[in-house]
Amino acid sequence: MDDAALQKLLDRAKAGDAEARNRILEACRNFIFSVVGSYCRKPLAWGQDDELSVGLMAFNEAINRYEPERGVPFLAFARLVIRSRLANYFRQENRHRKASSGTDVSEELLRNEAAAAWEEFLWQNVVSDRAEEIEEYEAVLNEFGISLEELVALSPKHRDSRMALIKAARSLAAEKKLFEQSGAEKKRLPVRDVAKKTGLSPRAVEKNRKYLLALAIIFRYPERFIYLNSYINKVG
Amino acid sequence: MRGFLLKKKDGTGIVLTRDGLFMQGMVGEAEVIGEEVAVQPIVKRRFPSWMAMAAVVLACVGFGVYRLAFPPAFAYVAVDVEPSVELALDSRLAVIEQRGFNASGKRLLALEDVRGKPLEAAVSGLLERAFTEGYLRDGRDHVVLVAVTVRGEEERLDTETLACLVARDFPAVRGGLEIVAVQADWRTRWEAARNNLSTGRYLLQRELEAQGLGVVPGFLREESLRQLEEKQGVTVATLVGDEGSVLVRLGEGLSGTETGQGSFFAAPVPGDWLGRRK
Repeated sequence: MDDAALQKLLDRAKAGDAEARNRILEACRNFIFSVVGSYCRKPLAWGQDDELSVGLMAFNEAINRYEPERGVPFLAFARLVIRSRLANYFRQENRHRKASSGTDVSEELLRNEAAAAWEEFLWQNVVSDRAEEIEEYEAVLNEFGISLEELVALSPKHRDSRMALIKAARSLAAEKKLFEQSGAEKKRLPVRDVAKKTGLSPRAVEKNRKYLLALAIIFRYPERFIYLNSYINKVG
Repeated sequence: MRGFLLKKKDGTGIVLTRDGLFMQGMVGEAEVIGEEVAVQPIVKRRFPSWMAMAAVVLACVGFGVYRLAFPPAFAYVAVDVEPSVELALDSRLAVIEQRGFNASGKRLLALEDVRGKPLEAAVSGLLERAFTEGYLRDGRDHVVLVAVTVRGEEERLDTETLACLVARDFPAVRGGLEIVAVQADWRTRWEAARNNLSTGRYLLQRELEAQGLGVVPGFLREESLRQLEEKQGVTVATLVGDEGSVLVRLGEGLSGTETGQGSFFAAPVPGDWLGRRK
């Protein structure tokens, strides 16, 4: 689902359209599963683990609270809400388990926190959330032997060339096997196969392989690189 | 241009633009990583064309002035006895540069700076100084090798004239003296300088190698030519004298010198020749 279609459904859902809300929830089930899974760091299953239910409710809450005029992608905001609600959930769980008589100051503060203040706190978290995402992106690039400084030098100067390569990077990202092969084989692109799949010439693939990989990483993991993914123009 | 700020350091940042361009540029101090920011490309200042022209003209004028002040060498004359020195001459045959190739050559030039002097005075001064410093001794046999590299034909620097010049000013009057003067081309002189040898000693090295007579480079550079002859069992004249001029004054040690080799214009010469002092 592209950004424009999602935004339309969000507008309708906020206006009370239950069908639109259900469509968003259905389309984003994998996203919710991925965010909750990466937060909990354990195997999860729908219908068995409460964490997923918490994540689903938080996502539903994010639909209500989302403000597109803030300029933050919806999925990034939803990820923040899910993580925040999961944190609350684990605190409560911990408290029940310990059955402690002591007062947890942070819990007390949270309990008393006004909903508006909590929401503002979430929006403020966007800044650090973005920085974390970029840090993670740079780390993944480094795993592939690519640096941001190199990409400055390797970026094609002509817009048309970049557009063609962005399109090719999307194709590469969609080919799970080929992408994983690129990561496995000494972090190099299997040039001939990629050329065949993307429609580029082998020479163009070889010449732009680092740039191509850098973009394919963004497109391959849209849940991890939400901000970057939503920032780059959609091509083709 | 605007882009998603990915990295920031010392006022510059790397951004990713919406159309996929990773670019580096100047960003504001307050900008935060992860925000869309305005970025100013780092422009490398380019000289206007008139400035480039002016620079070229200035360089040409500068080069001309430099050449006027320090004209290129018209000729090089290398003189080897024990000290090994080379004199660069301008077209008036005045010394514009001097160079010592071995320890005694460097010491000699340090004691007797001949820059600015005419060639005759320079050679005379150096031989005199070599005598007072003990590099040349009365009653001993000496071998002098003079190698000249000159632009075109130059009568004032032909091998015969140079051999005579050395013979006239040679301060040790007793003992044998053999002066070998040869002409070398510019390439040979350049290769010699590259090997840190005088042109004369480089020619000797080449000939010795051609005859399968190896010589230790340090020995070739530092020792007197007379010692070199004794050690190698060949004479300088037979090695390099074929193409030049050889002037021989028979002495005790050199009395056995075969005078039939090389091009001799005045050999053998009696001990009191050219009316020099005794």
